[in-house]
Amino acid sequence: MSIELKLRKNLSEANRMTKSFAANTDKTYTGNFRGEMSLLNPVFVVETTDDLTQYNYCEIAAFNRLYFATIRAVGYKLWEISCNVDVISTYATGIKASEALVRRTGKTGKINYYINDGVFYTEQREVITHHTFKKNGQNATLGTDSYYLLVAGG
Amino acid sequence: MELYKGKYKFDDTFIGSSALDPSYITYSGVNDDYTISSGLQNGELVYWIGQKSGVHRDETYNYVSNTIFEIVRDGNITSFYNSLTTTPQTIISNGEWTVKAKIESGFVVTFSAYKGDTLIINETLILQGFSNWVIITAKDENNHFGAAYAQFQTNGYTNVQPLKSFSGVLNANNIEPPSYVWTSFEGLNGNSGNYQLDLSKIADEAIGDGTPEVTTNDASIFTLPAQAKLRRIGANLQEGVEQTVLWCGDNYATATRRTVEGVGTNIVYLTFKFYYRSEVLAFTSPELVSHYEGGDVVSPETYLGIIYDDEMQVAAVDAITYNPATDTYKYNLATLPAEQQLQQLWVWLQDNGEYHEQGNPYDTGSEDNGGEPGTPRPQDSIGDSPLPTISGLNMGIVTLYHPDDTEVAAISQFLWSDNVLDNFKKYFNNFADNILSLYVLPFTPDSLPTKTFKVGNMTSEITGVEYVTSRYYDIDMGSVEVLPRWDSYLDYSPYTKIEIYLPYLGSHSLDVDEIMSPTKQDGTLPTGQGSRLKLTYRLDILTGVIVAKIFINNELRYQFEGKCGASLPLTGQTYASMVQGIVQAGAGLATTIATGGLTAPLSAAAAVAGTVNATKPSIERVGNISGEASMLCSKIPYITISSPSKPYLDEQEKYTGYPSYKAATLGSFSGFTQVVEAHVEGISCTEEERTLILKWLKEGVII
Repeated sequence: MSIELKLRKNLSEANRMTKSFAANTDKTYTGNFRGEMSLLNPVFVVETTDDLTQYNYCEIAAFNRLYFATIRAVGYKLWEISCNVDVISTYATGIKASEALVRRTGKTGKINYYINDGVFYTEQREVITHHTFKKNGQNATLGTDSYYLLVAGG
Repeated sequence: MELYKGKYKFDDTFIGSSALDPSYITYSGVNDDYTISSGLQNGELVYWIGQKSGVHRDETYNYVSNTIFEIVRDGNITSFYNSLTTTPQTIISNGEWTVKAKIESGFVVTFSAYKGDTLIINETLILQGFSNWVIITAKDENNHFGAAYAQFQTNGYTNVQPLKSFSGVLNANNIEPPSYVWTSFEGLNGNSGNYQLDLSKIADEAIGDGTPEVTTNDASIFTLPAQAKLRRIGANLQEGVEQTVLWCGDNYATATRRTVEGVGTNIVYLTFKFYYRSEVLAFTSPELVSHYEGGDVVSPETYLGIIYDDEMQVAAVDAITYNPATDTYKYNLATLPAEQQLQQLWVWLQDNGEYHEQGNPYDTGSEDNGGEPGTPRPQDSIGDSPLPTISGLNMGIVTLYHPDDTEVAAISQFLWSDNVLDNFKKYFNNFADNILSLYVLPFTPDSLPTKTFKVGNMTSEITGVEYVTSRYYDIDMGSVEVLPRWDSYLDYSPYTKIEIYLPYLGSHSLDVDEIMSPTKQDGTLPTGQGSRLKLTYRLDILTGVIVAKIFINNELRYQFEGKCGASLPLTGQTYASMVQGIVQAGAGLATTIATGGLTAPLSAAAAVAGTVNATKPSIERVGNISGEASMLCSKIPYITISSPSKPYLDEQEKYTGYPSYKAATLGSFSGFTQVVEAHVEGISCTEEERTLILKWLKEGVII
């Protein structure tokens, strides 16, 4: 079975659903299977004089999947490409359509700041403020000091 | 003893097609003023009697060929009642059948139907609220006898009253009814499992022997449980609203209350409907008298009983009536429903027929336990109390003067004048007996009246000295706004702390959560969170005692007590006691300080908010102050707010996101998103990939 292997340079985080790639750097290789091939973790050996050391991602259209690629040189002009399926990007459409109870998110409108799940960091220094009780714009007090004389009768 | 069962049975051609269109028949008898009609109502055959002259329909009637109704007695209810005694009296008889009536108590009358000398049935009815009555007998082609009673008002309007059967029944098929061996059913769950109807105490031996009444002296019957009272079962029922009240496994029964108003006394009825777990209605019980309300008539108490016969696979609802006047329990077994209903109830009871153990009263087995928050509890407004009105300052026994500096000096000169001292020596042994105290308070009342200074009976020449007439004063000590700083959990306990300093009283902690998230604001704040704190001091000017009242959004929430004032010595004796009082007051005046976190171990990872601010110690800012010492402290009340500092994390939404705990499709989220759980079954992938997807989602992905 002849398949096409497209190597790409991924610039995004591994857990990012929609990856971005370096422009104009894709390389495509076509070849035939010589034996059994895993669908989720295929390994290829490619003979080429191209420098594949900068590549870390590949697409295999025949498998309908996207993969993280680990490349190592195994001989003169021989490169071994070990692929691990990137399920998040491969099934991004299906994942986005799935329902979930979300613990954390960056989406405004879906955030509850009143839940403390221990991720907010605070500094060691507290802020301490003092606020007086005011009446008519002035600090409130009980009044001025006065004498009081209690007598019998009177 | 045989019991006849069933109802009046007509030739079917005379049954109306619907409850709204009954077919009418006229009776054949001595009186031409009444009509008897039959029809279906709620699926049951019912019979009415009406006054022909007032009947709104005037169709041509069909006669019943094989059943003859006859009005045998009618007349004024009061006259009829007055003719009765507590001894049964014959009111109708055709030689074979006899109906007797006697007074039970009040307007309660018992009708008894006999075949020969054999009592067939008793029926207790209330003669009240109406003016006329009739007794109707019916006889079928086989000369089976039945009788019924109805009462109504003759006010010219259409009056159609249901017949109340008090005889066995006409058995047109001439089939002897089966006899049952009844056993009382053990118990059902009532009121969401909060009690059980323990029906096992009904003496089985007394059931079914044809003796419809037993006395409490009968050793074969025990006291019925209060939970089985219909009055208790229907205690919380709304009039006319069907509500679930009983359970047997997953089957349940509802009750509906109907109150019939009488003259002075109302009668409360309950109708039970038995449903299977699939919410299919099994059957409806007859309307059972629960109790009376109001008036002078002694109310019977009706208990719900369930009896069954496993061999015959029948069961019946048996409303047991306790008559306190005669101290008897009465079974109403002769009014058994149709055989189909007896069978239906037996089937209803078979569903997991154990009732729940007392130890687990709240587990109904068929409903969720909790999970549905109730409506918010309505709040009660806690207002302030009014000033006390008894002060003792207007009685003439003592006078509290309010002299200024010049007047104090003049009073001192007057007190030490020869004339005054001579008079004091005549009347008193101790000068201090007249001058009770001299002190300074940090408060000056407004608009005091004045008079000439006088002590005891000695009048001075010092005029225009103010004196106090009210002992208690409310002083407005201002307000302060407290608003959240972070609009997040960091504004709440234990991360944010609030303390209040109260002049003359000390320092106290306040509940941050109540201030930051009040249930009601006072309408002056710019945001939905936070509160306005108002402070009022209530001062007893005679003793210097102060109660500080803190209002949160105009609701009284805190009250603290203290003392202000500085005493001035008048004699060596008063000076000594003043010093002693200062020493005693300094020992152990409490201030409320939140300790929170002082004993909690400090975590190495103290940067997390949960640990940092919660474990910071609270600092005592005010020592023990009271009385004289408090006069030397700050006189301005204030609050101290300690809140955390949170660094701003640039693009935190990309790295850690923010707390959410919302459920939606993942496409509606963005940034760093971490799930608690997700439904990814719909994705077309291998199971290994599905596991990987969930793993990534729980660790967090960037959408």
